[in-house]
Order: sequence, then C-alpha cells, then structure tokens
Amino acid sequence: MKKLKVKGNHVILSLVCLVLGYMIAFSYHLTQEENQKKTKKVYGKQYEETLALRNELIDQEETNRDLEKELKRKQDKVLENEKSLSKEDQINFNLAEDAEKYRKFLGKVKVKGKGVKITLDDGDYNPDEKNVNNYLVHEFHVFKVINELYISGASAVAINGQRLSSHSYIVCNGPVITVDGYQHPAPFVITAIGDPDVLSSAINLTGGVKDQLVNDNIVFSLEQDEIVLDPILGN
Amino acid sequence: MDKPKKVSFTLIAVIVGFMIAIQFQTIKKPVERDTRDIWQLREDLLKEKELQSGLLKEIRSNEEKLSAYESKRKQSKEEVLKETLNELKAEAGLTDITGPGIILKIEPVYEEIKLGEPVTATVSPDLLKRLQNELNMYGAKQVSIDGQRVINSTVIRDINKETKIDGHAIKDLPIEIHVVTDSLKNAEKLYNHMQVSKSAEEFFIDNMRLTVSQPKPSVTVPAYENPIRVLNMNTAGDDKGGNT
Amino acid sequence: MWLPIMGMIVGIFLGLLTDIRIPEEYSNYLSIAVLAALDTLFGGIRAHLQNIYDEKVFVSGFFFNILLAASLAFLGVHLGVDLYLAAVFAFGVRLFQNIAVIRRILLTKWSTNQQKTEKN
Repeated sequence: MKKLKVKGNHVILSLVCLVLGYMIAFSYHLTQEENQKKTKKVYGKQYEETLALRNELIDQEETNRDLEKELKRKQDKVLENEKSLSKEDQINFNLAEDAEKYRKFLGKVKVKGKGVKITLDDGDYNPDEKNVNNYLVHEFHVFKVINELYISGASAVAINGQRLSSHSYIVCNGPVITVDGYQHPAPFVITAIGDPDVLSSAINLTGGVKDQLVNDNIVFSLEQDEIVLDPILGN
Repeated sequence: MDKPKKVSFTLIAVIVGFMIAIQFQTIKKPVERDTRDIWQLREDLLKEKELQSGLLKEIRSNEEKLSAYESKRKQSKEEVLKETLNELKAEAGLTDITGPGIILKIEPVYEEIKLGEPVTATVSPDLLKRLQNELNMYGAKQVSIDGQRVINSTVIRDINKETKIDGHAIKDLPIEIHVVTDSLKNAEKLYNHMQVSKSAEEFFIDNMRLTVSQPKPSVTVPAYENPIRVLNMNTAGDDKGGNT
Repeated sequence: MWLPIMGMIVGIFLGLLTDIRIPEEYSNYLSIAVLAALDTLFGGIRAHLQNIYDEKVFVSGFFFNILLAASLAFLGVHLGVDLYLAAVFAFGVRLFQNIAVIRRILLTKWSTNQQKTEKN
C-alpha cells in the first residue's frame, strides 16, 4: 500500500510538472515571437531602408576618403614640380611663392602659425532658468567671436577644425551648429592664426566680445597656442 | 565574536555600496547611438556625393598639371605654373568674375522719410553680415557689396558710426550687392529663397528696402582692389615630418 | 557600529570612481539586486540588534537573495510577465519591517539609557 501511495503522489507530481514545463516553454516561445514581431513589423520596412541608406553612406564616405588621399598625393606632386621649377630662375621662384601664398590664403593647404584657441560651451544647466536659450551657445555668439578675430587681423579662422572661407555660413539648428553643411555640437573650439597678443586683447577688451558672452552665461576660455589648420575639404 | 563578524559585515556593506554606485552610473549616461533619421541620412549622402564629384574634378585638374610638368619642355612647365597662379588669384578674388547670379539693392524707404529731413539711414554691419551669411547658405559663391569684392579676409565693421567694408565706407544708399553662383539653376534657387526670406523685414525695420532682382545669366563682381597679404601663416609640413 | 556604514560609503565612492557601467539591458536586474542586497543588509542589522545575528545566515542570504531576485526578473522577461514585481513587493515589505524593528529597538535602548542616566 505504501508503494501505491508514493507512486500515486509521484504520478500526480510528475503530471503537474509536465504541465508546468509545457506552460513555461510555451510562454517563453510566445514572448520571443512577440518581441520579434514588435521590432520587425512596426519598424520593418523603414528600418531596412534606413539600414541600406546608412550602408551606402558609409561606402560613399570611404570612397571620398580614398579620393582625398589620392588628391593629396597629386597635389604634393604638383607642389614638388613647382618647387623644382622655382629653383631654376627668379621669375619662377616668385611665381611659385605667390602660388603658395594664395594656397595658404584660400585654405588649400595645411597651415600653421601662432594664434589663439577659443572655446565656447553652453552654460551649466540651470533649472531655475525658464528660457533654455539664455545659456546655450547660438550662432550669433560664434559670429561675434569670428568677426572680432577677422577684424583684429586673423589670417585664418576655423570652427572645430573646419576652416572658413568667404562663402562659409553658420546656421544654428537646436543643439548643433551647421557650418558649411557640416554639423558640430557644443563645445565649439574656434582657432585662429594671427598675432596672439593682438587677438587676445581684442577679444578680452572690456565691454567687448568676452564680456558679452559671459553676460549671456556662455562658458568662455581663450588660450594662445601654436595653431594648425587643415585644408578645406573638396576644394 | 565581534571582529570577524564586523569584517564580513563591512565587506558586504562595501559590496552593496559598490553596486549602488554602478547602478547610479548606468542610469546616468545612456550610450550614444546614431539616431539620424532617414531624411538626415539622405541629406548626408547627397553631400558626400557632391563632395565626391568635387574631389574627382580636382584630381583631374591636378593630373593635367602633372602631365604638363612631365613634358621635357621648360616652356610648358612655366605655362602650367603661370596658369596655376592665375587660377589661384581668380579664386582668391583678384579678378573680375562674371557668371549667373542675382543683384540685390538696398535703398532707403523713401515714404518713411519726412520731407526736408536728410536721408540718414545707414546699413548696420550686423545686418550686412547676416545677409551675407544667408546668401552663402543658399549658394552664393562670389559676392561684392557696393563695388567691393568680398574675400576670405573681408571684414564689415562699424568705425566712428560709419559702416566700412575692408576700409571702404558705405555711405550713400542705394547700394548694390552682386552675387554670382555656380549655375543659373542655383541662381534661381537663391532668388526663390531670398523672396521668402525674413531679411527683407529686418531691413524694413531699419527703414531700408531690400529688393532682389530676377536671376540673370551674367552678373559681374569686380576684383578685389588691394593686394592680398598673408602674414603669420606657414605651410604645415606633411604628417611624415618633412621639413619645408 | 559605524564601521559598516563607512564601508558602504567607501563602496559607493569606489563605484563612482571606477566608472564601471553595465549595458542598459541589464540595469533592470542590477536594480532589483540592489533592492535585495539592501533588504539583506537591514535584516542583518536588525538581527545584530536583537542579538540573534548569525554570520552564515547573513552572508548566504545576501548572495542567495540577489541571485533569486535576478533570476526572477530574468524569468519574468522571458515569460512576458513582470515577475520582478514579486521580488519588489517581497523585499520592499521586508525592508520596511526590518527598519521598523530597528527603529523600535533603538528607541527603547535610547529611552532606557535616558532612564538610567536620570536615575544616576
């Protein structure tokens, strides 16, 4: 009799366990399917399109990088030729020198020189400040700094490494600034080649750009440095 | 009894504190992901494609120069150098450029001026700079303001209440702004944009009227009159460490 | 008595310093583990105040509860049921109970101490 009881108990127990196991497995399977369906169906088509576009963009960027390298190689060879030609006589020397001058002016070559590095950053998040614009860096802040730099004789100016030209433009869209089509987030590092003392004193002038920025709760820092500016892409 | 118990308890407390800190950190900064949406991607792709065609053009022109340099004749080498220099000068703004574009005119709003009062409206440098920024945004490639060519180093500033561009004072309205773009299509796009731009209102607030001409197939911008001087800058050597 | 609290502060400090981060998907498990750990900790403090503290129970309970809570959460995610809520309830209730007991004991201790000093 003992044996039967135990057996009876065991049978019921194993039956219960079987059902439980089945329910667990079924539930698991169901949840998996739901999760898959959720991520695939709602975003399915658009996700694939975006993925394809993203891959195409990456490929295109790679191609452009290779092209840039090739361009640099060819440009260097042209420069070598000009140099060897310039050694031959004075006229050619002057021509080559002028060419180099304009290349530096236009941003076709990498340039370096003494200058200043200015960093603008959004003021710390102030929960009491209702208007969020009151401590974010906007395009007119960047404008002011750049204009002051040019006025004080900067030979070349760049924002976050991107060199500016006569047809550059700055647009403020929300948290990023678009310069010549390229987006940059804060903090904004403005580098300029010029006389460091003249540039610094112009910016630090009382009531000048620096004070106006600090008034607007913009975090501002200026340091004199040896500046290296990359050439403008695609030029 | 106390010491080993305290040690293990303390150890556990340390672990708990550690876990709390990790949890806090994890919640604080979410991982940055590329969340550009489909439209931003398309725009970026378009930009990269344009960049590619620009690069290809440059490579081709450099290849032509190289093949000229390869030739043994000295004269062709000199010609290439001269040609290169002229191209650079033109790009820098030292020559007149003619091409498709638009002409903008800034004139005082005559109706607002009472009879007998002198016309005192002057364009502020700010207004001009914003206009220039906007023109550049929508395809302006060469610009001249009141007959003064705008180049990389051009500054528009207020000196003694006079607006000066590179030393030239903008005194009498009306003045003309000539804009040259890459193509007639771009000139039309620029024209369309300026029609609906807010700049006209900004000028109106200052008692000036901004008018935009129809896109013209040939607009001329004059050359920059002064010599271009480049100080303080040197060509940076190659990354390989060559001494220039 | 204050050594364990110092220990926890040191642990928090270390954690903030080393800047370790867990991938976002697992932060859920970690939060429930933290709850379990806190509950065990206060349970240990209570046991100590009631002088029934057993080290083995404490340490084993610590790791066991954490594992139990995390696995409950894990199971819940895969079954599509918010099972971690069960852990939240259980540990939350125990946490409140333990803290209440600790508070009661401390208050009686403090009042008897006061009485003793008054007598003297």
